[in-house]
Amino acid sequence: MSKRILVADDEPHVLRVLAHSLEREGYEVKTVANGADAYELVVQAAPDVLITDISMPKMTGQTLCERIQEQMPDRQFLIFILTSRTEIEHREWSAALSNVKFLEKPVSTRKLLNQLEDYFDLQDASVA
Amino acid sequence: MTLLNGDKYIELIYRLLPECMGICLIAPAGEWCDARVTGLQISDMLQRVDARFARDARDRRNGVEALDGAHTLHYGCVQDQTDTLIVTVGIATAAQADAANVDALMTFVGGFIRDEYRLNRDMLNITDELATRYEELNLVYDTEDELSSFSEQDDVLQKLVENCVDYLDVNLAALLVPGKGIHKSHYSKALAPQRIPLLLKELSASVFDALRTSRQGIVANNSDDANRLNVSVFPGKLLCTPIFVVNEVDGMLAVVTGVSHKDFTNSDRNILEVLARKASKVIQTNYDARTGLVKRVGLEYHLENALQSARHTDCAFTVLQADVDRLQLVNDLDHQAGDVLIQRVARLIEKQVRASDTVASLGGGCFGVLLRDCSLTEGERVGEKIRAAVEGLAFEWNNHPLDVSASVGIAQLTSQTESIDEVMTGIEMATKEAKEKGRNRVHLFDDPELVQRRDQITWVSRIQDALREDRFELYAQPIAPIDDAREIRHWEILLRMQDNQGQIVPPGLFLPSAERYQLMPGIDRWVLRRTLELLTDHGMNELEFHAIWAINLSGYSVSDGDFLRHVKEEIRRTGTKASSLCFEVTETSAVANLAEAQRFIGALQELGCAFSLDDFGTGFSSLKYLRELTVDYLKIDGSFVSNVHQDPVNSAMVKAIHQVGRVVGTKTVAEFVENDEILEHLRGIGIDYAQGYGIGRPGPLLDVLQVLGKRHSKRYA
Repeated sequence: MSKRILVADDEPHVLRVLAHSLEREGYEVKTVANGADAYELVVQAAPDVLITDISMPKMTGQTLCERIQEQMPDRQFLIFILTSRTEIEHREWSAALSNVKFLEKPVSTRKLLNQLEDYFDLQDASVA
Repeated sequence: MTLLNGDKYIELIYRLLPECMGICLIAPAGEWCDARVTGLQISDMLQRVDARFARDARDRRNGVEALDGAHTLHYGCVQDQTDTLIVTVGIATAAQADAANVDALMTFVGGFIRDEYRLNRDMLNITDELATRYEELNLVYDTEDELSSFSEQDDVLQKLVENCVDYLDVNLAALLVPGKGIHKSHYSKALAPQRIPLLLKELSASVFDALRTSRQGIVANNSDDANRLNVSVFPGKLLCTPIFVVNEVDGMLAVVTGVSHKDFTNSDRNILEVLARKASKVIQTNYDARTGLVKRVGLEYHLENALQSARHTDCAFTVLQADVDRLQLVNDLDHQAGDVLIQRVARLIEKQVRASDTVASLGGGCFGVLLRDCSLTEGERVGEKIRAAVEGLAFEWNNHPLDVSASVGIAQLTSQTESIDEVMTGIEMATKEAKEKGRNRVHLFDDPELVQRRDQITWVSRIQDALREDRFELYAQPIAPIDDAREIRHWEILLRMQDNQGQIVPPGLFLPSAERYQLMPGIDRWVLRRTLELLTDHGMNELEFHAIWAINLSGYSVSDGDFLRHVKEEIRRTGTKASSLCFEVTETSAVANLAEAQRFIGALQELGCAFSLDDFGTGFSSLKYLRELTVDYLKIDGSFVSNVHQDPVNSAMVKAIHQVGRVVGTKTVAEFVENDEILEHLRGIGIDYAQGYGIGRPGPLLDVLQVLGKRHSKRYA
């Protein structure tokens, strides 16, 4: 079964490109444009990986992550947080989160795909 | 994104054609089928439709055939504008159904399918393109082309090749600039590591040769391209572009990927050219575009490393500077001539040194060379070789032979060297000396006068730092009336400097440099401002006795029209009593600017300030100037005073000065009064004031002010 990835970003073109590149690699992708919608989807069915931007309308990536951490302390899935170079201060609040990775914007899709691949390889290996 | 969703078309056909009993749609990406009646052989339907529209079948017309006894199969297909099959359709009806009606329906629905398919396919292509462009854009954003230091170049160029691999999704990226020793590469995990050395070798050999000939980007997507271009990185695809540093193909940026990767396009070539330009910009920050030699920052970087290694290993280094003589004459002839000459001299110098040495272009026909593991004697020999080589350069411009020569300055870099500035100043001064001695010669930085001047120059920056960081300190030395040495109301303000470790530097070390390199105006202003602030802060303007504070001024301040305004402004700002200030100027500086000194002294005396002529007696012929300079005190130079009780000549001098002072109505002060015998002797002559260790040593002004302030407040209490 293909891995399910949820992408939250308020920039439509980023969303489109990311979704496209992920789908091309065979992932099942869902996209949302804000943190609130992302939270709703996560609660309905947890994805295998959540990729989220930080600054988004309705609910920011920070609130999204903190709420997920609070409501789902045993969460299994990985969260990728997209940061820009000027957002290093975000590393402070995110220090309280577990199972989180950072990707610096501009995000190289190739880098993202490589990291996902490594992550899933490692997971499958540990399951096996 | 799926290009076609068959389910909704099955639904549509059922609604438009109620007599339809079963449908199948076959597309390259999948099949959709449905049967409404039991017994309908869907698999048979699929097989028949497939057979009708086998890939190579020429006849793609719609048709009808019997499926079984009860049913008829209507078949047809939808093609795009290039006649590629999008989907094939099979519809089963009862045997007696109207074939024309079904055919029309198939054409009708086929139109929708074609439109949707086309839109989705275009969208997919556009998104594909967008994703690629987005990666390219990010690659450009994410790749630096600015350097903040010489040594950063390595990291920036390494990041550049890593970015190429990440963003362009290639297997290997390499940046090679052989002449500058730059070899950067990065590869993805898709590349077998054992292939890398061979690939890099081919890039730097055949591919680089091809680039040097073509002088523009090369794309090779298959072996035909490769054979034509005479490059050999195959199996694989190659894209490479030249890096120009000095208008030559000095290097290359290349990416290589596997045969399964999509072909490199012109757009890929453009993006690689942008990155090559970035690389070139980075390199040009450190290297001179005219000669290709490392710039001053690079030499300084290597000197810094050399200094570290000299301190740790006692390794010997020699540094030299070669400056083309009378370059201006050649430049005046034709600017291009100057450029060509500089390039030729650069190559010539490179030939005289070893590959392990560093040759730098310092601009304006001036070169710096760091000779590693090289004694001064050996360095001198290399300097002479360079000088002789430049002299022997047969340089012609428009068939005019021109005489060329260079002046060479040499200095050593040892574990004793304090800073690289010291070395740089050393070679500059030695070269200047070589020029002044008649050019076309080698000069060693070793004669004591040059060393002293260099030391003064190094003092300049220390003084400037101290001024900026407020590391000066004021001292005060008492001046006592000779008939009552305890009644002190007169102090001379003296200056001390703290070095950057907080040690006190005596004025004899830094004042000569400050005088020579015009730093005195700034120092005078600092002393004036600070003294007046401290006096005011400690209530010295409210003392019940008349204290006098003597401040030294340099000749520069006396002749600086603005300084007078500055003094008035400071007195006003701090509310200092002008009558408590006395300014000391040396006899020599006052006489040197007599008219200005007269005006300056007059203006300050009008305010109420007093004046001293310092070091009096050393200017010899200047007694007659006393008539023109109406000063309040004459400070007899210490050289007459320190042995006045033993030397009758000095005693006579002091007497003579004192008598002249009496006549013109000026009080006399003796400096260097070191003991009571001297004091007694001076008292016998009738001198008015005494200053020196015998009276009191200089101490921090703050201490003096605190003592005075306490005594003062006690008297009021």
